[in-house]
Amino acid sequence: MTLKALIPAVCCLLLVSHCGARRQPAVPGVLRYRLGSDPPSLDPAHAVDTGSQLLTNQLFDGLVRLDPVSLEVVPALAESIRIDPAGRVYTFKLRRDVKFHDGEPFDADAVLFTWRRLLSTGTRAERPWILYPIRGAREFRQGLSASVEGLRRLGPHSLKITLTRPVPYFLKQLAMESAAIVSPRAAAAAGDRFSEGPVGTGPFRFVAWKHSDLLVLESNPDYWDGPVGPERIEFQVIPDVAVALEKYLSGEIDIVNELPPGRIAELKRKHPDESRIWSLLEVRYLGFNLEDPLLGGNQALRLALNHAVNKRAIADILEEGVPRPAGGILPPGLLPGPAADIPYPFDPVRAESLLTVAGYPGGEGLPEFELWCPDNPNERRIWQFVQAGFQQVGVKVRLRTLEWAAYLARVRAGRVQMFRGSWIADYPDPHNFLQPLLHSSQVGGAGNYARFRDPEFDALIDRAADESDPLRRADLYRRAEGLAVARCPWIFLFYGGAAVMVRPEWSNYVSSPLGTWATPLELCTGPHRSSPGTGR
Amino acid sequence: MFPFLLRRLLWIVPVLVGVATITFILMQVIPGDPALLLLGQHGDEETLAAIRTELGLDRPIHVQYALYLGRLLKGDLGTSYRQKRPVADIILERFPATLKLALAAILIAVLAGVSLGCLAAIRRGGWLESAVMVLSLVGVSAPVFWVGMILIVIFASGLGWLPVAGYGGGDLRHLVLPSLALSGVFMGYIARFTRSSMIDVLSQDYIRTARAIGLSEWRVIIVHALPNALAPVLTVIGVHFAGLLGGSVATETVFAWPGLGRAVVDAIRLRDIPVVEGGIIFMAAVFVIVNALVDISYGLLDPRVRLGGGGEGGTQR
Repeated sequence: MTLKALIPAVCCLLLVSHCGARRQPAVPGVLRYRLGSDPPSLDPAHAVDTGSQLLTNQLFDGLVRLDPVSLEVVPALAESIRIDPAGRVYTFKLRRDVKFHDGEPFDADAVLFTWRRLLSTGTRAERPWILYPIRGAREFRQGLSASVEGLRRLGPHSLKITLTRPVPYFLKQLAMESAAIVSPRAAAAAGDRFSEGPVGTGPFRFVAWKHSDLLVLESNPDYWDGPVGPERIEFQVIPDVAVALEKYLSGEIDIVNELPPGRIAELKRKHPDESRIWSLLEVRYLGFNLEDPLLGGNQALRLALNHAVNKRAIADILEEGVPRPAGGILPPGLLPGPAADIPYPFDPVRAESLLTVAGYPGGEGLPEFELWCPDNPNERRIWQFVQAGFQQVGVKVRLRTLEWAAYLARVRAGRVQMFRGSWIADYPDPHNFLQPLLHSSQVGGAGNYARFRDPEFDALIDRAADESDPLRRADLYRRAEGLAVARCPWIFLFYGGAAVMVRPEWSNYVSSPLGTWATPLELCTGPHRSSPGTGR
Repeated sequence: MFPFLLRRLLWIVPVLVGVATITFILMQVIPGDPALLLLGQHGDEETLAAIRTELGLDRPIHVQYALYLGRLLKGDLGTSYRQKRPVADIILERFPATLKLALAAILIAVLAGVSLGCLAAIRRGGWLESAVMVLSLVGVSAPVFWVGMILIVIFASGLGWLPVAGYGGGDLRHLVLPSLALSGVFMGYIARFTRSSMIDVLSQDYIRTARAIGLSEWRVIIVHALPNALAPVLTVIGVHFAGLLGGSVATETVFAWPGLGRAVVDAIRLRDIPVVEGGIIFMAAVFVIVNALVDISYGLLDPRVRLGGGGEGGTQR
C-alpha cells in the first residue's frame, strides 16, 4: 500500500468506526459500576474517601441510616429508638434475626465491639469523633477508662447511650459510614487485614478484590430489609473519566458516576433517558484569608470582588447546569424554607463603586492578588473565568496551582491570599457546615481556612448546637449564616451537583445528596437471568 | 561469565542504598502531610496527631531514616499508610500486570522496529526508507495517552473489536490496545537504531565478501548482517525494557491497567511514603538486574565483548 492510499484508508477507518458501533448488551443480574480509583479500605473504621464509602455502604449497615431522598434518619439495624426529653439518653431496640455475612448473629455486643474498635487508638480510625458525644468515649480513647461509660448493654438486643450533653444531630452522625457495624468474629480474627475480607450485615457480601482492577460483591440472600436488586455488582477501577465514558457508551459498564467536563450537555441531548443530575450537599467557594492585611481589613474590597464574579454563568454555562449558584453557605434542604438568592449577584458597576469605597478606584493601587488552587484541570476554567471577571473591574489576580497535598498544606498554614475551597456534608445538618468552616475554634487546619473569627457567629453556633427545638435551632443557624455572609469571608460560588449516566436497563438508581457514594445500589433493578430460583 | 554477572549484581547494593536515601530525602522535602491526607479534611487535630505518632512521623528525621534503612536491610519494605498492608504484597500484586504489558509492548516494538529498520537500511534512498523514518518519528513523538485514546475510539468503542480498557482478569484481548499504544515509542527508537546499525554493518568488507562469494542476499542479511547489527540495538532494547518494568503511568491510566507505575504515582500523590519508597527501590533493583542481563546477552552476541577486548581475538561472523 502506498502512502497516497494510506491516508484515505485511515480516514475511512475513522469514519467506519463511528458508524454502526454496537453497544454491548447488559449482563443479566450483574450491575457494572465504575470506580475512579482503588478504595484504600473496605473497613468502615477507615472509610473516609468516597470509594471506600461507596463500598462500605453496600457491605455494612449502621444502627440508623438516611433516606436517600428525604435525608431523614430512619432505623436500620435499630428497630426503634427512644430519646429522653432532655435529649441525652438514647435507648435502641435492635433488630433480631439479623445475621452477619459469616452467619454470626447481630446483637448489642456487636455494636459495643464495633464502637470500641472505632475509638481504640490501635485501630487508627480517622473519624472516632463521631462517637465523642457519648459520655466516656474520649476517656476510653485516651486509655483513662477500660470501657465507655455512656454505652450500656441492656440486653442482647437493647442498648442505652448517654451523651455528655444534648446533641441534636447525633443520630445523623451515627448514620455515617464509620459507625457501621462489623462482625466481631471476623474483625477480631482479621485484625489489620479486615479490609481484605470485610464482613457486615449489608445488602451485599464481599466476593473478591483484585486491587486496582475489579472488586466483586454478591447479593446477600438473607438481607434483613428484603430482596436486593442486583445479584452481583462488579466495580471496575477506571481512573480516566473520558475512558470510563467510552466504556459506558460501548456497554462495558452500566453506571458511570463522573462525566468529562464539556460533554454533559451533549450527553443530555443524545441520551436523555440515561443522563441524570443530582444536587449535592456541597458548597464550592473562593475563600479570602482574613489574616491577610489587605483582604482581611477591607470588607468593601471583598464585597467588590464578590460582585465581580458571575456565579450564574459559572454554574449554568461553564459547569453545564450541574451545580446551582450559591445563595450563601448552606445548600438548600438543610434549613426549612425556600432557597436563598445569590447574596452578591454579578454587577460590575456595583463592584467598581465598591472598589472606590474600598479606596482603590478602578483597581488602582491594588497589588496583584494570588489565587491558589489545586491542580485539577476540570476546574481550571472556573478560575480563569474568575480571573477575567476581576480583570474587568481592574483587579489583577495570578493563578497559582499546586498539587493537592502541597496545596492543602499551604492553605492550612494560611500561606495564601485567596484559595479554592469546597465542603461536602458528612451528615445533613447545618452544624456540619457552619461549625467546621467558620467557627473560630476551627481556624486553620480544622476547616476554617478563611480564618474567620466572629464572637457573635460563634455564640449563635454554640447555642444552636445545644438547642433541641428544631425551629429555634433552624433560626439560630439561619441568623449565623446571614451574619457570616454579610461579613463576606468568601466568594460564594455554587452548590455542587453530580452528573451520572445510568444504563436504561437498570432503573431505580437513586443518588443521595450526600454524594453518589451514598447511593443504595440494592434498590437498582435490572435484567435478571431467567433460570428458576434466581432473580425476581 | 559468572564473575562478570556476580560483579554486576553486587552493584545492586550500593545502587539501592543510594536510591533509598534519595527517595527518603525527596519524600521528606516535598510539601504535604501524609497523616493529613489519610485523615481527610473532615478530621480533628487530636486524631491527626495520633495518626502522626502511630506512623512515626513525629520522630526526628535521622531516627526515621535509621529505622527505614534498618527495615530495608531486613528485607522489609514496610506497610502502606493507606491500605495498611505490606508494601511487598502491593508490589507483587501489581508487578505481573506491568511485566505482561512490558513484554507485550517490547515484543511488538522489537518485531516491528527491527523489521522496519532492516527494510529501511536495505532499501536506502527509496520511498520505503522515507516511510519508515516518518513512521518512526511519529512513533517517537506521539504521546502515548493520545495514541491510546485514538486506538480506543477506533478499535474499541468504534468498531467494537476489542475492549475499551481494564485488565479483564488477564484476558489477552485486553492486552492488545495498551501494548500497541505503548510499543509505538519504542518501535520508533528501535527502527531508527536498527537502520543506522544495519547501514553501518552493510558497508563492511565482510558483507561485500559474502556477496562476492555468491551467497544469496537473504542469507547475507539474515545470517551475516543482522546479528552484528543487532548487538548495539540490544542495549537500546534492554534499557527501554528495564524502563518499562518500572511501569508506564500514562498507558496504565488510560487503559485502567493495574500496573506498578500507576501504583507508585498514586502513592506519591497521596503521600503513601512506604509504597513510594518500596516501589522505587523495587524498580531500581529490576533496572540493575535487567541491565546486567542485557550486558551478558551482548557478550553472547558479540564474542569480542565476551573475550574482553574490542577487535582483539575472535572473528567476525
